[in-house]
Amino acid sequence: MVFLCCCQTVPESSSRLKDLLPLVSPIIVIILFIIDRVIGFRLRRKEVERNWYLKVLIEPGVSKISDFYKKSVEFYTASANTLGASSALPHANYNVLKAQEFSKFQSLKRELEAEVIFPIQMRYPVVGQKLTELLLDIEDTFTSSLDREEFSEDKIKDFQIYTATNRAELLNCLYFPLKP
Amino acid sequence: MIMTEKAIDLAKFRGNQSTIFTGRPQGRSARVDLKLDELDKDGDIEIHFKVPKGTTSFNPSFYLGLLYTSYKNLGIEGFANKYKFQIVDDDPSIRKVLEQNLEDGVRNAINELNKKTGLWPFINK
Repeated sequence: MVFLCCCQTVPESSSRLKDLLPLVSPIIVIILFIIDRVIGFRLRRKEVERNWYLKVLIEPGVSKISDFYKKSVEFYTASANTLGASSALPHANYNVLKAQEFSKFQSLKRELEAEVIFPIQMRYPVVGQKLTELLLDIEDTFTSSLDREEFSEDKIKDFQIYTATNRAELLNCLYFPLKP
Repeated sequence: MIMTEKAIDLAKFRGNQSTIFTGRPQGRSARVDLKLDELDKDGDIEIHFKVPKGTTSFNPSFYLGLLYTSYKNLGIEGFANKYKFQIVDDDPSIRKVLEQNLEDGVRNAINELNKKTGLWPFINK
């Protein structure tokens, strides 16, 4: 009886397998098709985001960033000359003048923050944070150097070099969201 | 609830011969020196920071080093209720510059805080 059962079962399951075999290759094709669609969808979505990032955030921002760094050096030079020429002023008046010179640069910084950094920060908070830190660094350097009365040509050159490095770091940060 | 006011003069954190408050590490160091972590926990004390006369800039970097942890500890509203600033200089143009500096600090702190709230992962999906 047992022998009979076994004899009957083996041919039955092997015939089922034989029936299913023709279905295997279409199933594999369908699975590959689905995988291909999912990968394609993800790549398209990444491409759309990449294009959006470039068109909406980066392209309008690049010229503003260049302007900011160019003006930063111009402001530093002008402030160094103004403060250097005003050392004879009474201390309180000199401080007022110094605060006003700082304020000019700080307004410039606020403009860049509002127009370029904040829109990036909304979508890419980590990148936005790093960009903000770089802006705060340049603000610290601007105010500290003038506060230490670093008005000479060499010091102006040092500030120019510092801004170039800061700018390079900022541009490098902007590339983060495009990294694969 | 009646709160006790405590005035803190920031003059000693401005640095030798300096007229500015600058640098996140310097702000953090002032925070440790003033034991602000302990003061954050004391709900009965309201802190009034005095920005001394002769200050020409109060940079957001220093503000963040000094107070960002308090924003994290207390939240934006709790922070605003507990910590106040008083600009000692009475020159209107210096006051205006320093008020703008403090506004910058608040804005940067709130932006940094928002980045770390639980909402961002959902917004950025």
